[in-house]
Amino acid sequence: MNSKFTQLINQLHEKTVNNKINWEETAEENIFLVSFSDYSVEIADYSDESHDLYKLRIYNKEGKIVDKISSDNCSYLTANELKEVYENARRKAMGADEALGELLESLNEI
Amino acid sequence: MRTLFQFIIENNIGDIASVLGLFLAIIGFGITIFTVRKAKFAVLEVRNDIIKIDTISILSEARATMEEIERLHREKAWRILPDRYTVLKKSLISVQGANPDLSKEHKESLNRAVGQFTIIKNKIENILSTHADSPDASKLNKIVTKQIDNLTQVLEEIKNTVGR
Repeated sequence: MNSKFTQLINQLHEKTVNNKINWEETAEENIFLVSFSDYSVEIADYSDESHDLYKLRIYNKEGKIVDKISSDNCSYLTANELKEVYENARRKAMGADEALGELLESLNEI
Repeated sequence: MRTLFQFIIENNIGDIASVLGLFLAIIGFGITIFTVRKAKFAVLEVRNDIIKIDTISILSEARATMEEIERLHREKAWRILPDRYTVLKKSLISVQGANPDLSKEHKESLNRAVGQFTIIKNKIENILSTHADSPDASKLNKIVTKQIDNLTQVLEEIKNTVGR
């Protein structure tokens, strides 16, 4: 696998965890999208009961796929990081942290 | 007349006039360069404004297409929607191509819209080819409404820069 892809996944993971990038919901429940000036990145979960499968695709300005990676054709570590990116992207897009914060606040007020 | 020439020669007025002439020529040259530059700048500003007005027109059309897409989702007119997505994506892509100086935020908004409509288009094409169940129109429109809001913001910000 291209080492730049590994770097990209590392950076996406780090920036997502630190709330530096804004993942958004899409029309597909299992796909989340983040856009930059020239490219967009989508992370998707195609897992089923038997195995985990995560895919990351890079789109250019025209919405065409310029590169992609799947968790079933990369190292165990990278596959795990893809899963982490997906989970964090989903939490960010769905506003999970805000929801948990507000729930805890409500519970503290009772 | 002879007295006048004699006066000019005796007082070196010719030399003084040459120096003054040179000085005036330099000032005149400077003024000409300044005027030409000012005119060139004005032409560039007009050209930029024309590009912006053209961009505003394309983005307004794109917003109208998004609103039409919202309506077509509600009407579940899935068969005609892929063409609308394509028209919309072409408009958004052409704006990015014609405006390389767009701000980072504006580029991100346009790119996001292209990405979101690419995913919607793939979903609808997939449903049409596999005869799967219709998607939830309200969920699709939640995404479309967000893109309309983003595009409106870009549109207003570009409008505010025309003539400035």
